[in-house]
Amino acid sequence: MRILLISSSYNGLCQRAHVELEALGHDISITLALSPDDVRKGVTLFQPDVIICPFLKEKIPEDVWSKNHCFIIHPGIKGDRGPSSLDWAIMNEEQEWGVTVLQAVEDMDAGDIWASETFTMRPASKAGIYRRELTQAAIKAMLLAVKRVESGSYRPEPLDYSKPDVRGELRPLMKQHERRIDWEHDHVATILKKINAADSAPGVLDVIDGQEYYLYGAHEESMLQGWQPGAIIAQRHGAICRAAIDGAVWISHLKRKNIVKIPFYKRFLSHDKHFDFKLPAAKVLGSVLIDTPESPIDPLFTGTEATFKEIWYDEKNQVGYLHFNFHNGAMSTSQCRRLAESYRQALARQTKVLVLMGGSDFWSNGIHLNAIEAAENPANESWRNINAIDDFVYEILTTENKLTISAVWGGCGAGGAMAILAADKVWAREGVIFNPHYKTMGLYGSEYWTYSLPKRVGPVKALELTETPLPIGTKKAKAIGFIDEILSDHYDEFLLQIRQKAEALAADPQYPRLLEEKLKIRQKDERVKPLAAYRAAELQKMKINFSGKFYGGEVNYHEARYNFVHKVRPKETAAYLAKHMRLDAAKLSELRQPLAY
Amino acid sequence: MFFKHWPVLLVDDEPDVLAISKLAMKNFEVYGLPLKIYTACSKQEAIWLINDDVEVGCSLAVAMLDVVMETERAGLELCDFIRNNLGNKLTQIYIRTGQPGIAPEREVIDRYDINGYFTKVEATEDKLYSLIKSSIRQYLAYGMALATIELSNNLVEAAGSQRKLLYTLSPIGGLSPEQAETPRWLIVDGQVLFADEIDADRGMLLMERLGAEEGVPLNPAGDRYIRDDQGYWLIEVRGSPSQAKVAFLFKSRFSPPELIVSLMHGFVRQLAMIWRQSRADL
Repeated sequence: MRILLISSSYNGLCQRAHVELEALGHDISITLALSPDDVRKGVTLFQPDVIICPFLKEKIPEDVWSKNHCFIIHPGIKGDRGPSSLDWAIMNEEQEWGVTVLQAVEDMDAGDIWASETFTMRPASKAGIYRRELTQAAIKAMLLAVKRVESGSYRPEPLDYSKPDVRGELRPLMKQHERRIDWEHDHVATILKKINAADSAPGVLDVIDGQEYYLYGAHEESMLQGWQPGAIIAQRHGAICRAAIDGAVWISHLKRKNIVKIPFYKRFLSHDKHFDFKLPAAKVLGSVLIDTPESPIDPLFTGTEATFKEIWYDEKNQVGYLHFNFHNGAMSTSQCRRLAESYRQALARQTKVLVLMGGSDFWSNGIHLNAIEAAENPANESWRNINAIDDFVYEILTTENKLTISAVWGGCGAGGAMAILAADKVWAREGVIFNPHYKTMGLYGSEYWTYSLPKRVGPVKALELTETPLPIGTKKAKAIGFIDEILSDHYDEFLLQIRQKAEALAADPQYPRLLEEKLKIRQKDERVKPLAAYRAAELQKMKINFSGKFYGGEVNYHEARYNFVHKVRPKETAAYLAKHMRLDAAKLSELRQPLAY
Repeated sequence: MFFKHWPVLLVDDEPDVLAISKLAMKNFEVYGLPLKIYTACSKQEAIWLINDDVEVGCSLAVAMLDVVMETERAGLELCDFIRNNLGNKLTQIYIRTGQPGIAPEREVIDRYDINGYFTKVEATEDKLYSLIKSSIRQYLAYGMALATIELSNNLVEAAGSQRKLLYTLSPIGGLSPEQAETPRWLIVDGQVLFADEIDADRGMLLMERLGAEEGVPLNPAGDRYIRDDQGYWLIEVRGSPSQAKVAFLFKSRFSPPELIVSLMHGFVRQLAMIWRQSRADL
């Protein structure tokens, strides 16, 4: 079928829908809902059999939904309506939640139901649930709905609140006064719940030192305590720890409220930088934390107590597991340096296999664009960050005393998608989406990708993957050799499979031979072209991206980074997504051709 | 063309040598631009600086390296790092040693990709002056030549599609944070590339103003360049049926020699021809 995806942004769910539908042989085009006319143009040019809206904040024009099969993927159970579905589900401590595929009608979320799925809720941020449970359920429901359309005989279920399985209701937009934290009365569990329900957007509005901030990234603390609820009692790696009436809570990120937006071209002319985007709390608060003590943590933290930790480690049966859970998968200079140090310490352990676990939502998305944007000199910080991430990747590539595995549960993009390839084996969850390209950020890229990627997929595929900035799913990734194994989409099962496979590798009688072969290949590769030469060539290209001086520096990267950090919407849907635009151009060129008789 | 100073790195484990050299070079100017002097006391510190500062890492014009520092060959290893680990073949590297017996001149010049060798005794202020001047001239000419070749290669690869050409040209058009004070415009057949409306209008007005002046001919076909007293440059290639009319308009803080203007003209001319022959698929 010809399926048009209409989405507010090309987010993770939209990417997954794109990949899954294309894998089934459907013809897919995408238009961002930038304006009603953009949507109409997409429909007119593409002439879809079905329209699917995986993530939509805007209204679809009536002339579009009334004349087409138009499905809305709604992040709520049957009967749930409104713009804050998941927020309310977390706040109301729902044990089970769901996704519904609805026919678009005049009233928002009130159309006939084409499919629905449910899932068990867990204590996590809204974004975390969206990326894991909700995305999984949404894809399942979407594929079922598409199948039902194809059958031609399915009759969708009208929304009927008298039915026992229609348990949802119409709920309003959740306002800040409903999210507000009452530090004098709220317990730790309530504070976590409130921040989770607003994370990653809009955040919970709160006051620190007389200034309003949105709070993000809440983590429970089990050891530290303070006398005055709400007071900042410690800081660690950019996060702040605040006292509560029955314990303490870490808050990793803040965003200042009430900042006047400045156009891109004026931003870098101004010396007075205000950060109107999400950043590590300590960076935003600056001198407010001058007397706040740093609460250190072991680089190879192995504890199980609740606290804020970005890097931790566990070990069993000669296998080490290094976890690194960085917010949104972005890795700043200091985070890369800490990770490289933890990696070196993990290598010193008496294990045979080291598994790189990444984080719960992302394995890694490469350099930290927000931190770079906030730096005094973004070009300098870009340079530091790329060197620091390269140093980490280099450690993996040159590991001689263990076999290494990238266990990819969360998604990965840009440098993160290349970094996974540094390990000897790459095992990924079935639903992972990879974005192994840098072009959308106007960068050439480093992380030794010019060594690792062609080595795995060959030079032709390497060029294809990096030149066209499209996501790939695990089926394609395995088929082209980008990854080695596809594992379960269910978290516990995935962990079990990783453990079993890694332990089997450590216990394999062939282990010494495998390690020896790996060393031989590395030595041979080094003789052909040293890793230093790959890095040097990549960094030569990056020089122009960061700070070219002869014909000028790259504007693309700095502007793309600004737009990304400030969530500036593009003016039009990128040509590589909007297939209908290519059709449009093709038609025009046909018209220009002289007639053939 | 978009330098505001010339980055120079001095590496020596003797603080006095660094201080005296810095003092001696304080007022040196090349093409009217001052030096920006970075110093490091060891190979390790220099590598840290290279990885920490994008200017030292990416745009270093000259490096003067002592040999014996934390090890007997630390300076030579640093040279190797710059050339091979950073892939930097452009920086003019000079070995300045106090112990020529440990690293004899011939052996060093044979084994390492350096641009010169001298002993600390030879390093008078005049010697440093002539060396800095000549090496920065060399650096600029060589850098512009390499950058022009790379751009030309990219143009050839993108030939046939104006969309691809646009992508290839993106590093040199528009305004970047680094070059906010030295803006650039590429104007093809009267259309300003990579600019919003405000910047495009500004570019067109500037082009009109500069275009009204006589300028210096670049070839018999009527191509020319104009420079005003505010540092704005216009390199203009005339349009014809076989080539687009292209204007490269930019602001530079210094006046480059004719050779560099010729290189830039060569690139603009190539763009004019390839653009005309490429499909209008924007």
